[in-house]
Amino acid sequence: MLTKSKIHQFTERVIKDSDADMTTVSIAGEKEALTRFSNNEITQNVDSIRYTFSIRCVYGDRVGVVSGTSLDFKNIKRFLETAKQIALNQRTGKKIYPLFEPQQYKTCKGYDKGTEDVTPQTRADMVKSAVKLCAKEKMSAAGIMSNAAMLYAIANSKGLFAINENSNATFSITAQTKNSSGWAEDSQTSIKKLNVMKDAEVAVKKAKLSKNPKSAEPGKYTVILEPAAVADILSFLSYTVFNGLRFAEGRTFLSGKMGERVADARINLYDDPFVDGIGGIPFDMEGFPKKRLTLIEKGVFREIPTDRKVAEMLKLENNGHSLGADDEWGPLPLNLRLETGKSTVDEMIKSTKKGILVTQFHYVNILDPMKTLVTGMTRNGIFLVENGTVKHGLKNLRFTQSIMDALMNTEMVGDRAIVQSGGFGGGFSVPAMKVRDFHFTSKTEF
Amino acid sequence: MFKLGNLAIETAKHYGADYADIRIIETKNEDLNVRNGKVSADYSQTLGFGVRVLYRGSWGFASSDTLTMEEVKKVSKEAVLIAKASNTLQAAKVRWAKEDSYKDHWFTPALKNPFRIPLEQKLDLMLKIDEILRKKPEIRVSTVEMSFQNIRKWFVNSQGSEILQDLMRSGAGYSVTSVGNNDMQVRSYPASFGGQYYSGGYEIVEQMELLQNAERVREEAIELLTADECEEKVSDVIIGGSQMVLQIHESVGHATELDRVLGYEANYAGTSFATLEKYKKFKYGSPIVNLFADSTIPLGLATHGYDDDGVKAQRWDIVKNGVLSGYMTNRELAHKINDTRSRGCSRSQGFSSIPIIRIANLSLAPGEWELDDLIKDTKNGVFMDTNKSWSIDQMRLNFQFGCEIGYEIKNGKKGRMLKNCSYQDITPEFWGKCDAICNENHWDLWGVINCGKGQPGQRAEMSHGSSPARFRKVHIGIGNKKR
Ligand SMILES: [Zn+2]
Repeated sequence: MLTKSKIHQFTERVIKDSDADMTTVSIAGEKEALTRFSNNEITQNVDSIRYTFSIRCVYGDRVGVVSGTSLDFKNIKRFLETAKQIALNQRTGKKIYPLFEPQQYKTCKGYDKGTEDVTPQTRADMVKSAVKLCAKEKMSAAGIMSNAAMLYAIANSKGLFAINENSNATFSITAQTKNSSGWAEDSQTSIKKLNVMKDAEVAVKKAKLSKNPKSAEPGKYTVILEPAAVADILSFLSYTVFNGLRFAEGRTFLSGKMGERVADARINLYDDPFVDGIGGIPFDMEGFPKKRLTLIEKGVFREIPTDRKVAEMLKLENNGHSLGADDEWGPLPLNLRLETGKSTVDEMIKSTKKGILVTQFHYVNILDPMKTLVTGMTRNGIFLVENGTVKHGLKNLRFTQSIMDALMNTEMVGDRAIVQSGGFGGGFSVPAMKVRDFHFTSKTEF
Repeated sequence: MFKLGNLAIETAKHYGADYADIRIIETKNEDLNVRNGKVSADYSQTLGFGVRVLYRGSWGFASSDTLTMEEVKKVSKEAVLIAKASNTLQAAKVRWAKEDSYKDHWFTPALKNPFRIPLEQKLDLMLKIDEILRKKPEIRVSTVEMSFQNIRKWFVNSQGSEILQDLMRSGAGYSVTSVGNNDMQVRSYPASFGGQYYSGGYEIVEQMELLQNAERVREEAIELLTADECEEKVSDVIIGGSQMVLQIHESVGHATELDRVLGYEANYAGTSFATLEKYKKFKYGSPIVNLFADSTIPLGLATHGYDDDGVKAQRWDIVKNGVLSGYMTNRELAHKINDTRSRGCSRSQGFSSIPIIRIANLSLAPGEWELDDLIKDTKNGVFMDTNKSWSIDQMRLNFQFGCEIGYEIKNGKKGRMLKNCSYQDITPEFWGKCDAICNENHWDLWGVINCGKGQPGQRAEMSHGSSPARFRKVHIGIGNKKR
């Protein structure tokens, strides 16, 4: 990736060359190298560095925004000219908030230089050892091994300059037999923390255990959701119920419910960019320091993300969740962290008379945002639990379930969380959960 | 540009590549957004190149946004080094299907270059629409969008092709969110998620009748707040054209991507039930179901002269008289279905992404029915349209889709409005229940601009044509009150 000083030079130059009343430059950079494999062989091996920059120029009460990909000084004047044209071509102005002065930030730990520089050969070797294990079991493996570095920087004509770097190494593997599959994934700040053989073993074990799956009838079940499955559904809360603008406009399940009990008392949910490896950024997209939020405490709804506009609407403080000065989507919690509880997955299984153990979900989508009603499929390992033990694999099921209802129906929370970076400031940290009355609504053929 | 392209090819060959291609891509986007009267305009430009090489049957790919001779040489060499690393875990060599070499310049027919239409003229229309949409207090959010894209793509490969393509895409649309009666509802026009898109110029936007439909859309959104909820039951359904698009995309398009069928996407997007032993045999739907892929169809978002493998655009059958008859293929995998030539479905998101198999323009051929006659012919049913939510399993069998709006059909008449409409079924069973398709008077092409696939993730665009169609005995209103 480019060095901090190179990034700084580019932003300085833009601000210097601009004749706007206010100028803001932001840069997102990503260096990603990825080796993909399927049917036990490498199918794709790519390496790319990509930058996108965005320049916002304000003339009076008019705004022009342009973006591009090449951090080449010789293009700057042309982009600035376009931004000016866009701004001056607008007949109606809008409310403009002043730019922020330079700020102090806490640090997010999430960057490892060695992880940025992993070679294709190292990735190939890691993939090779994992694939070998699957081949030995006569299974077909598919997955990825990737290493990436991301940077986000913002600068403005008031002298503010903020930059943050993250790195990420991810190994993901699906082991397949004729009629079953198992999956494991690990995402870390440093490639040194990955254990690809352990992941391969988990995937193989799940595929073995779910061979010749039986059919289960749709209905309400107690479910034990492994952390990946929890992440698959919990992530939808970010833009449905915890979108500050939607909340303020009365468009969410939580609108008007601040201070009320909205989940089981075991639920403590935060927006926390400072968790190791979550990939958080300590400032928002206007350069304002991001505050850690207590969204739900012991089941009670406490805080909501704000930017200046939403803070004004709700008469609250700005807590640094802006998605940009001209954002119309609304401030979001990008780093959901569900606090761990006391139970192991084994204890959840042991305490279950009849239930279903879920490895992960697939293609989850929102049906009704007001009810937080989502639908999706189970994937890569779903098991029947009876009288405290895992009995056998099941064919996959579709669920149609309100997430907020699931939080209300939570019976146990896992003692270990997975941490996953979603790139560019997004990511989450969640443990396993045991939830009663989880609604499976239809079956599929495998 | 072709000179730089040929430099890449020579460099790759020098370091041992058996095949090489380069795509130099320049993109221009203009995205305009008016939300509750506030204007955002975003103008973006990108330029860069990607080099792809085959070394002893293994792939390597590298890219850069710096367009100099030095960088082209450096990146081409890097691509070969990556291919050499891939070669260490390779059971079978890539078999590259034959294709003629072309020297050509292909461009999207466009009457009015949208980038030359004054910004003020575009914003003027958008603000007028916004004003109509927000005339009632129930409307909490109104969003009007316009989006234009121009891609110039230079393709050179080691087999002598030199192709320049100039692709233009235009789109517009709006949606309103109404709040009240303890509910929130959304209504969009001409389609959800940004509107309607075609390949072509600004003339497309002018023909959309955006202004003329604004009041109706607003009133529908308000009426939905107090409309009855679609009950959970088994019912006949007539699916409108814009929702059919998603049905085609998810349950046929992705299911017939050959890389997916062969397990290349097993870890991410999933696999497919439409496996090779079913080819030319499997009953995908009822005999009236005919789906064809067409990279030459006018106005299609995946309409081009050549794909990113340098394969010339074609038209072919995917489902013929209800039987699975074709796949989306590229030069690497065509031989897996014993084809000697690729269907030309290889596309990438941009210069820094490797081409993968993407859904081509895929359409349901029109049937015989007038829509009015079809409604008259339906005793008990629900008409649903405009997609709101989608989900389908990893083999593309069990799907569940939500629609913005529905109407009850009783004794051949369109009745009360219904909200929160959804339907769920298993792909071949559902298409097997199709017993009527409306004719070409009701047929339109709809653009999809947000199709995601691959790792690293890539976005692609394509169009699907359809008219409304009827399906018997489908599970609807999932999760709602039961009747
Ligand atoms: Zn898609």
